[in-house]
Order: sequence, then structure tokens, then C-alpha cells
Amino acid sequence: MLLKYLFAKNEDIPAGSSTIFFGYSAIFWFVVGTGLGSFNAAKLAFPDFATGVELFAFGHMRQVHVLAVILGWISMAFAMTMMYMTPALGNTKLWSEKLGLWTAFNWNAGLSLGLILLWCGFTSGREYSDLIWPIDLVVIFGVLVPLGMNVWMTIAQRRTQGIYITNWFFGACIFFLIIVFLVGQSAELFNLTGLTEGYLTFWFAHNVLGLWITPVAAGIAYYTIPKLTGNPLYSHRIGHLHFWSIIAFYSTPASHHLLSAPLPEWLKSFASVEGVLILIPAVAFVANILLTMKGRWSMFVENVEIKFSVTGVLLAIPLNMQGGFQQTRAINWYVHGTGWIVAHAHLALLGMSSFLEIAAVYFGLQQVLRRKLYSLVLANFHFWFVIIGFCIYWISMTIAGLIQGAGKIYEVPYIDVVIAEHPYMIARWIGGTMVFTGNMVWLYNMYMTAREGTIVPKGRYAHEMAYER
Amino acid sequence: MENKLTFGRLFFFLLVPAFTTGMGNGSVFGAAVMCALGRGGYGNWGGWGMEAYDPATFSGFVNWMMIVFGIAFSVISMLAMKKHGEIEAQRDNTAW
Repeated sequence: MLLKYLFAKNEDIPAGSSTIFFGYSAIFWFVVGTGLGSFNAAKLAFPDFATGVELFAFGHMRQVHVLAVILGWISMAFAMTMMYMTPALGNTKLWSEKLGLWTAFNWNAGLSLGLILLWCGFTSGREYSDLIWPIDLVVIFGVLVPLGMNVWMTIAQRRTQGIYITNWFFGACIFFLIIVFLVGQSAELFNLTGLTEGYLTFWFAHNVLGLWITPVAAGIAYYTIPKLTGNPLYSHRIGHLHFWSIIAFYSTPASHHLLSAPLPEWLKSFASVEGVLILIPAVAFVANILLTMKGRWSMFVENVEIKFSVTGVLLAIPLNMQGGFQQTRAINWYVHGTGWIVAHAHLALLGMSSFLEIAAVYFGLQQVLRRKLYSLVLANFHFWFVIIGFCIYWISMTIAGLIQGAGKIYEVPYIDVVIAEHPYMIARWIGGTMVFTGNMVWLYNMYMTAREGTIVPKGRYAHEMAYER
Repeated sequence: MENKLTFGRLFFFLLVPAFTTGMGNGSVFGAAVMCALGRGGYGNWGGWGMEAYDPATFSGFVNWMMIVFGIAFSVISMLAMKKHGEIEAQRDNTAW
């Protein structure tokens, strides 16, 4: 339905169209991404499952899951929030709804093509930057630059005096991501090989996480928590400390991901020290948000968006504790190359980041559609399935990682480690499938919200009406 | 106004997210202690009370640390939230 506006005049396109396009695309990709994750986990839990077909081999499907979640779900949810938060915070309209719709269209088309090619085996062979370079160029020039233009111009045309911290994160992080993509993909474009290629690969991976996935999620929380609670942000100054310390400490050389590689020792030590300093923005963010909740904690048990948001903020605590310390040489010696790292990555992407985005997508779609959520019961079902599924996944993979670490250090025979890990692989599959199930229910709930949700009268917020019949 | 943040309403909220948060911190603490102390074999990790890892079950110090931290974080969060609930209820009563 929204596709008809692609060729309409900008002034004829209803405000919020690109928010809706991005929002539903994000939920769709979340279902696809977690479905692929559940399938992959089944292959690890039951090695005889879906064998004999090359396309269903784990090596073909694993990176499709990763990129469907990062570029499909998380990044489109970010774009969706930018489409409604940036103008709202500047008391203005989005610079170009038409450009927003085209960005969403390019994104869906480019990502679909890229993932199909990846699934068929067309890959750069580098983790996280697996897509081949023509698709990377589509992402950079067909998606990120237009998205950036829309956000930057909306901020420039704001009718407020200052720029709120959320828009700082939005504007800056799109710029970072363009640079990260351009530099990170250069290994393939310029045929860089060996250690240089390995280093650029993890420079890309590190900064996609640290300058996009976690800070934009934090920027979203700076909007949703004050908006939903009605409390002003506890401290703008702490927010600025968060922003600038991310810039200073997270844009590190990233060589702490490659502590065993023959990179210069000073470079690894430098990256490792800055990795611990990530605790500064982490503590600033968590403290600022939790203190903003002051006096409104009852919403944590009553309001579904706050449940998701606050849980995401809570999960930022272990995320940054793990992240800050696991990359020091002493702990990395033990956990490197084990399931611990997989658990940590899911704590970042599925735990902290996704929970904050889910809240923003719930809130944003209800606001833009002007419709009350179709079913609060289904939303609560979604929350519990995602949080319990995530916890099962994270705990089982952390323990599996510790087993692998012990096996590695004490030179336990490999097959003994595989046998010891088997129950945890089954638990991982159960957890992942619960997340997938919850997301399918969410997609249905949001589809029904658009079709049959009660219309929200002017001057009211949808979440305020959650308990009104 | 009534206190909405009772133990009954908070239990599952804090059992799952807060327990996980505590376990995450416990995992780091446990791994850090084990790595700092344990550079020997299974039976000689430098700590007291239990082995670094039991080669039969692969269970050990970190698992316990995660559970202890998980319980501690849940209890701390529950007490803090209960106090918040009391303050919020009082504030609403006085039309603050």
C-alpha cells in the first residue's frame, strides 16, 4: 500500500509513512532473523537435522541469520525510530517522507538480494562484513547516505534551540556507520589480504557494534523513557558524558578482538585499556536512565514499553561488565573462541539493543498509526517469551563457553567437550525458538493493531489508554 | 494510593531480568578470579572450596558465582523497588 507513494509528490505523502514502512519491515526481518537463528540452533542441537542439502548447511545459513538481524531488524528499527523521533524532537516535519520511503524500499530490496546471494554462497568470507562489495555499495549509497541526509536535514531544519541527546546519537552514528562501511569493506575492494584483512574485518565488526548497534539503542532510550514516564531526563550533562566518552573510548583500534594475532603489542594493549574505559559511558547511560525512572517505577510492572525499555537498560549492565573485562588478556585467554562470546553477542544484540528497539517500535507504530495496541495480552506474551527465551539462550551459551574454555586450557579431548555441551545446545535451541515464537505473535499483534486497533483521539498517547476499554 | 510494587508483582520481573543481570556480572567476576588464580591443573587453581572445573561434569567455580550474583542482584533490586513503591504511593497520597 505504501509503495504507491514512492512516485507521489512529497507533500502528498502522509506524515509517518516512512516510519510505518520501516517499522513493519523491521518486525518482519526480526521474525526472519530469529527464525533462521532457531533453525541454525536446531542444527547444532540435532546434528542429523536437515542434512544432505547444501543450502541448509550451517556454514551457508549462519551469516544469513546474523545479517538479517543486524541489517534487517536492528538497523531498520533504528531507521524507523529516526523517522519519527528526529522530527518530534526538533518540533518539525521529516525533511523528506519520499526519501524515507525510497530508503526503506532500497533497504528491503538490497538486503533481500544480498542475503539470497549470501545464502547461495556469494560471500566476501569475512565475518559480519560477509556481503559482497556491490551489495555493500547499495547499503552505503542507496541506504545509509539517504538515511543520513534525511536525519541531518531534519535536525538542521528543527524549530527548537538545542539538539536533544537522542538526535546527537542519531546524526553522529549514521555518519560513523558510513565511514565504518567504507573503510571496513576496503579489504575486499582493494584486495587486502592476511593480517590486514583480518584486522579490517574486526575493525568493522567492532565499530558496527560500538558505534551503531549499542549507541543508537541508547539514544532511543533517551527518548522513550522520558516520553513514556513523563519525567524529564535526569541529566543532559551525563548524557553528553555518555556521548563523548563513546566517541573517545569505543572508536578504538579494535585489536582487542585479535589478542592472539601477530598485531603490535602496544596496539592490543591500547585497545584493551580503552575497552575497559567503555564502563564510563555504560555507567553514565544506565545511571541516567534509571534515575529518570524516579517516581515512575510502577510503570515497570504495568506498561509494556517500559517493561521492554527498562529490561534493556538492566541488560546493559552485564553487557558492559562482560564486554569491558572479557577483552582483557587474562580473561580473553580463557573465553576467546568459545560460546561465551556468542552469548555476549546475543546479550548485546538480542538483550540490550533489541529490547530498547522493541519498546520504541511498539510506541512509534501506535503513535503514527494513531491506533491503540490490538492486544495487551499478546504484548505481554511477547515480552515473556522474548525475555525467558533470551535468558535460556544466554545462560546456556555462557556455560557452554566456559566448558569449551576449560576444555581448551586443560586440553580435554575435543569429543568429550562436544558431548558435555550437548544439553546446552538443546537449551539454546529452546531459548531461540521461544524468541522466534514471541516475535511471530508480535508481528500478528502489530498487523491487527493497524487493521483493528482502537483509534486514539487527538491529544492522547496510545500507551496512556492501554488499560482503558 | 496503593503500593503497586509489591513482592508478588515484582517477583517474576526481577527473577528473570534481574537474575540474568546479576549472573552476567557474576560470570565476569568468576572468570576473572579463576583466570587470576588458576593457571595450574584441575586440582590446583589457587582458590578454596571447590575445583576450578570438575573434569567429570565441567561444573565449577564460575557457575556458583553466577548463581550467587544472580540471587544477590535480584534481592537488592526487589528491596530497592519495594522502597520505590512505598515512596511513589506516599507521593500520590499527598498530591505531590
